[in-house]
Amino acid sequence: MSETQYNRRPVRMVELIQPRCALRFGTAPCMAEGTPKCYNTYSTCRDQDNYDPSGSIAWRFTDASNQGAFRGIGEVDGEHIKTPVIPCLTGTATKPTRLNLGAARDGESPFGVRSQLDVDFQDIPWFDQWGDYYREDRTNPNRGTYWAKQKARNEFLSGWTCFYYEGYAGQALEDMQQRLFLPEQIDGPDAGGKVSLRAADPLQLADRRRSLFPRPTHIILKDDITDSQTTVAVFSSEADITDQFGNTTERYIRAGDEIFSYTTATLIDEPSGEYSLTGITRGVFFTEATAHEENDTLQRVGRYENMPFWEVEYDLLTKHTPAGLKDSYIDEAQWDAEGNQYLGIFRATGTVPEPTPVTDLSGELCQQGLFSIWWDERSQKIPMLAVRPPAEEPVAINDRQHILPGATLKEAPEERLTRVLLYYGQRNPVRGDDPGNYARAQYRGEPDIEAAVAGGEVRTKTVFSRWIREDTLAIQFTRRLVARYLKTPRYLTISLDAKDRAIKVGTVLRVTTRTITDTEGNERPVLWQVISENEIKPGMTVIYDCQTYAFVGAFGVYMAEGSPVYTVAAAGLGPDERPSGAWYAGPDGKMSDESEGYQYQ
Amino acid sequence: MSVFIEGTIPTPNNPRIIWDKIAGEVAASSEDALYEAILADQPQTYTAWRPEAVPATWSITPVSPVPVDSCAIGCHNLGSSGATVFVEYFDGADWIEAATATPTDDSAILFLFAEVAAADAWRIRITGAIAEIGVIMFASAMVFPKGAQFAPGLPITEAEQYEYNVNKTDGGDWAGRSLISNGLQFSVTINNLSETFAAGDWAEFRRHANEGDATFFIAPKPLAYPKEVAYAWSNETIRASRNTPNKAITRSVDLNCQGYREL
Repeated sequence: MSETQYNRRPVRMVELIQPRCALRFGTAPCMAEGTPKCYNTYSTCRDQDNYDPSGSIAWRFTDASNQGAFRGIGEVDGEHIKTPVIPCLTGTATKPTRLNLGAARDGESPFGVRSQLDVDFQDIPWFDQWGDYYREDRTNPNRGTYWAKQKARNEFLSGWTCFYYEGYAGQALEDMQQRLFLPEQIDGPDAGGKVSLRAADPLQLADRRRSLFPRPTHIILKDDITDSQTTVAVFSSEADITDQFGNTTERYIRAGDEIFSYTTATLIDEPSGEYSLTGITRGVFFTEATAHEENDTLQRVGRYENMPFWEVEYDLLTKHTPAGLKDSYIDEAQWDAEGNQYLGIFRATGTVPEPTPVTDLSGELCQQGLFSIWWDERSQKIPMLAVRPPAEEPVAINDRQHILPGATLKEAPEERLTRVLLYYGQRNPVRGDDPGNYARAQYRGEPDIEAAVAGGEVRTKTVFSRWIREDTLAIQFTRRLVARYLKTPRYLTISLDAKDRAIKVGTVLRVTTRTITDTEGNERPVLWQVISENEIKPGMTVIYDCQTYAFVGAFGVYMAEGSPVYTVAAAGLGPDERPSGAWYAGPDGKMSDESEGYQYQ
Repeated sequence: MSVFIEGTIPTPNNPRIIWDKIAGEVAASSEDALYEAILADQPQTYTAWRPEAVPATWSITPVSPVPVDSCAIGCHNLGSSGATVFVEYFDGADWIEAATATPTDDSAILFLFAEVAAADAWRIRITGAIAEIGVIMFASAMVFPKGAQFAPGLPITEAEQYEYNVNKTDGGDWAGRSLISNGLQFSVTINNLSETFAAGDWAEFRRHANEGDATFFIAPKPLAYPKEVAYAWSNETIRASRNTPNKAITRSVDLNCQGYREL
């Protein structure tokens, strides 16, 4: 059974995976004593020094009417338990990811609108038939309800994960659509037994409150220092003075408005945490070396030099967010392949002089590095997509075969741009956004569009970039930004049957609908890029939000020596290289098969 | 759903409710982790016993022998697994077969047989394939002294509840249909019951259905309509109202039930 079959039976399951202690109460190395015995959770542990979180239990929930679809899925593998389904699920609602292409929409996170899962349950009598190793020792194991007991036994949800399965009766669990979320809170049970779970995508770990780069450091000057001193004594933890914040060999530190670098930190006295900093260069990055006083607080400074933009982003997400944002959420090979193909010449060099939310830095990197990242619930990864033409043939959809009633089309004139002014080559990172603090500026405008006869509207975006140093990228950035937003951005919302749900965020569609025509009233196929998908009726109907797609036509990609000629590639005699190749067109701008010629990207 | 009648039983077309299962010590030849044998002795539908290998047995040994004339099995996948079930009792010397069947689907099963007054233990034996069983009841069935009303009514075999979601495109084409199943919903009406019946077996069943574990197996016409059996419960208070000024036939029962349906 699948979404393409008729009379499909949608089913859903929520799986909450909870870390558990792999030890047994009172059995060495566990030294726990007393009653009641633990429930292998940290909150109920009586010997937390020896708590071993390497075990887990996955609680599975579904609707009462669907339990037959999940028969037999319970299993135990060592210290990892996956329960059969508990039929107390009463409702689910998802708020989908909404992609912010190239972080271009101001006021919105570079990660776009974050996806969220809300789940409702009805509490049920629970007699701990699964997962309680000490049930026979309990006074009255049959007392109480499932969620009331869970809340009492688990004070925090950190380390928990939540999978949301959507599929059809008859499908194996591994073939169902799976989405990963991290639980944030569980409300209830209320007097009626209702329980609500809220979970959000893992990028929540990079949000403003949780992730700063560089993190706040507590480093104290031991003595007064002069404006030329090159050996400095400080009090600090080892981590604060030696951790890497960026990709440079030197470490950087800020004292007041001065930044200086050091190469070596030598431990002088361990109990007090005194270190001697040597190899110092005072007043770097156009900051002024000045005297500083004993007990002044110093802050580590982050710096990346000549590093691909997406690699800077990768470093921030994997090394400067809480441990929960695992490497496994990012397909580094996909990032490298995408970046090397489309963004290889763009390098970032920038200094972050104070703790700054990772999400803010990500916004800068995505916008100026010309790529988008978002949480893909289905693949459970954070993909990276360059702002580029599509590599695959757009998916064609139309009114008759695909689009359900209720499509909407909206314009966003406030997002339109006719001019972009970019200041780059930042001098003093402490001085901030002042045009005089930047070595260069790049301007891109469209005077024809601004002319009175064309509407006479001027819309300017000014960008101060700490990362861009090269003219090439400055030109690319301003050109692409204006190209994308010169015409009023439009947003199309369509509903499709689940048979089309292979379409996902980032997919480019060629939409033919009666509501979009040419000047003569004929339906006109238009390219759109999917920025959000929401399975509004799980397993039945999906709503897609799409944004106008700026790249129209075939864009060329340099090919390796020995690649076939166009006629061979078009004849299907081997892999179709036309989407990722380039050949010269005829004098009329057409290829031999009358298709449009290739354009430079 | 299937009723299997072994041998001769009294009033085979009168409605039967199996609820008063024998209590005792449960044991099994084997059990998978998370699928312990004791779970099949409990009313909830989402837990089950599953053996590690077949042939397998699940047995219950009462403290003292009690009469048993029925065995009901629900929330299982015996049919789709291809298993065969034997119902057996221990007479002190050997296991004796009371009934057997090879189910063809996963709907509720009811075995009815001549009463065994004093068996030491009862069991089901599964052969052919490993399967899961959610509910097993051995009991003396409550037999109604009158037949169930034939019409008007909805047969249990057509009591499934579906919600349909049809997608038609903007161009008017049919794009697909999804259906959501929501178990069974049916009613069984039995008229002309006596005050004696209401004060006896019926009163005990009411207490169970309204205040106790609540679930039961029901077969309105076991012989004539063997497909009509369900593992069910009521969402409203069960009562037997008085309708005529004649104590012998005054009571009427209208059971509005929801039932378990394997997806």
